[in-house]
Amino acid sequence: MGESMVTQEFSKLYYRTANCLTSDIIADFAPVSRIVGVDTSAGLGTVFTAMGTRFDMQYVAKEAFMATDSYESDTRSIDDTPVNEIMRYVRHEIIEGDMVPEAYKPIVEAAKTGSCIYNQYKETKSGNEDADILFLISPAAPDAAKTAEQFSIVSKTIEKSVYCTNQYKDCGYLALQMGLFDEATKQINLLKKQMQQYNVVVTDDSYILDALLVLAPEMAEKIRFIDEFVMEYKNTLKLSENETIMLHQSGVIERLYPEKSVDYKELFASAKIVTPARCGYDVTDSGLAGGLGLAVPENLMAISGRRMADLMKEEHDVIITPCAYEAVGLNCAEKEKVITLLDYICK
Amino acid sequence: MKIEKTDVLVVGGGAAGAVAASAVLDAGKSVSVVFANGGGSEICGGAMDVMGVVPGEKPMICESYKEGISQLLAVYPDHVYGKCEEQLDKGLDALVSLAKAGGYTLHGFDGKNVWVPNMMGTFSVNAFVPEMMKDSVLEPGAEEKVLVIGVKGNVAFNAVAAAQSYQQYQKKLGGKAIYFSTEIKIGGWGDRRKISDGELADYLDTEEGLEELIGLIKTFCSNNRYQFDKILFPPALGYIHYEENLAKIKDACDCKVGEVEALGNSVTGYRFTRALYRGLEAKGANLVRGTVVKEVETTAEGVSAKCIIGLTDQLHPGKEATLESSALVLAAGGFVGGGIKARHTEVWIELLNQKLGSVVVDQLDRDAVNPKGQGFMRMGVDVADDMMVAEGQYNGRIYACGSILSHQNFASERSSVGVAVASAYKAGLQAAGK
Repeated sequence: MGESMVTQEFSKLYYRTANCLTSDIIADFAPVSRIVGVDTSAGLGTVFTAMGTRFDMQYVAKEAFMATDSYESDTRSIDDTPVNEIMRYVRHEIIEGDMVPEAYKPIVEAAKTGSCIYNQYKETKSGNEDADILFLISPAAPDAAKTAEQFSIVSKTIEKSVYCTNQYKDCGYLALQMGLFDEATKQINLLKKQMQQYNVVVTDDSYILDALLVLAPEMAEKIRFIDEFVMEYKNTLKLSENETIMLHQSGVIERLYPEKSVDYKELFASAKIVTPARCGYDVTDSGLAGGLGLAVPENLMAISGRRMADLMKEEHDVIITPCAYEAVGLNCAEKEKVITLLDYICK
Repeated sequence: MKIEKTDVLVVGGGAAGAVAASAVLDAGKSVSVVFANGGGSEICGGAMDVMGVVPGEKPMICESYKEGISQLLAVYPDHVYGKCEEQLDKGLDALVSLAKAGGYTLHGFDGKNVWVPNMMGTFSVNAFVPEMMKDSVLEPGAEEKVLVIGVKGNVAFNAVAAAQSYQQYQKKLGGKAIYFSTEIKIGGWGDRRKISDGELADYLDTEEGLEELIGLIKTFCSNNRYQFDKILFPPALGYIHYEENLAKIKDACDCKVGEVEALGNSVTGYRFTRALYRGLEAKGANLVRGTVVKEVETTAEGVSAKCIIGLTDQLHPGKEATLESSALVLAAGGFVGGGIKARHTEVWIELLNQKLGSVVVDQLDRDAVNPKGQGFMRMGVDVADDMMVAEGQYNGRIYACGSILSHQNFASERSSVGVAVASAYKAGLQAAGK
């Protein structure tokens, strides 16, 4: 296990975070910072300036919640500073101190109670519970019933039965990102019981995938991200598209679980796959950040708009992303429509 | 990401790692390059120093980097250049080719060193400069009019102060230019007062950003009574489309245009390292990114490296994997890149579990720019003449290169890239021969 807050003294890490984030090398390397800016007037970034002492965290409450970059900053920390982890800790301290900024209160409440932050969310279940596969639908999906139908078509093609549901919402992801570990564990426990019945658990939401792998590591062998699953059955599914596909990858997969990353050139052998310059380990996210991005819509729109500009720059027929959550984030930019991998293979 | 056995394993994602991997491929062998990020190169200024200054009571400025190496070896006979100088040209060629293949053009000056204006308002000595700085190079004796442009709110570069400083400093180097300065106000990011290089570069990577910049420069120049020969800009003309952007600005302004050298910002290190990675992939290297090597074991037959794949933190332990090869090249960086780490006052190379010695305050010279350089910087791993790590227990399977090596002080010598590529090319070839 890499060095983390568990094994390092917090105060040391805290100052290292402040130093490396304000070095103009890492602070810039987060979509939020690039969009909302950093205050470089004193050589210190806005987000971290007020973290002058560990007792003054309340002054960075808003910034700590805003700093949701899905680990992009961490990729450039050359002294192994776990930037994202520090911000998670700061969020937790702010919640404990009851100093959550107004805009984030509904999200924090939802994380605590395990409710859903999306207005369009409607609990959906389809198929028999004693199926071969459990498919966990993203709570952000605009039409969960349609997603369930799409995955049912895929599973029918490979002659497997499936039970699709979004009843577990984000499976504790937001609670984890706020350091609310007890709440996250509560949220996953019911699901864990159900997961035991299945040989394979698939999700189209990279944030759910992260929550599952963190909270149920003992079941990691049976957990699949949607593109990983599709790859396993690509021959049976006979994917023969020959379009130019612009691919938006998932930062969670590319940075935290790169061994799960799928080669789309192999997946769609007859298509032309293109990616923007910021891809793979350097991929930039949509700005939705598992839900935290919703609190400041103008930032979300600016970040997703910037990412869309990169995705639309090169010629393509379609823009796809494996992650339903990222598709929702990118579509907040209200530019070209981004579709999910499931949408694409079921079109 | 492919976890497969290759002939050689290179640990490190900076200039040294890239050149070592290139040498292995040149020798017809397969290579995997394992790294978390670009280390010291991740924060580099984007130009290449080979040998700029021989440190001492009276430091010697080197006009030619090759002559400089001879002068250096006369003063410091045990310098690591003594072991790898003969591979310098091949190493430089390898680096320039990789960068070019990745879209980053580097220019040399027939073995001469040149002076490039930097963000501090002084000039840095370099042997190779990127396309972005080619026009920025100081031309001794040239009586040109140079406009230094800053961007309002970008406190990383103060154009007014920089121009005044260049005006004075250039005299030491034979410069006869007249420097002017202006600060333009770019409105693309709303009403925020402060912006960083990264935000600026990201904005200038968009069509509207570049259009706004060009419009502002043209307006300023057309309203000015002087015809400028050269325009200098902070190192922020894009993370991705930088060369394309530079060409468009040159076309629009009809004069020389260049960036000043960064002293480490988020933009230049990104451009350089990502170009190297693209070049390496195009050449056939297997890049294992976001991965840290935790432990290395050697046998009579080969090397196995225990790795952790993926970013790690409290919630994410990463995935363990073992990479195997016939030989390993350690290019993990020195004090800056992370190959050498401090445990309180003790200095260690963690991957070799090798203690190098202690550094205490009393040993440090309070003068940060002491012409002799800080002594502790010469600490590092000792290698044999063939760059093999001079320790019996590795079965002759581990080689080292770059700033992790002992007997060099890249900071005072301005020799970091030269030492990196010469030692890396030799280490790569030797490892490929295993």
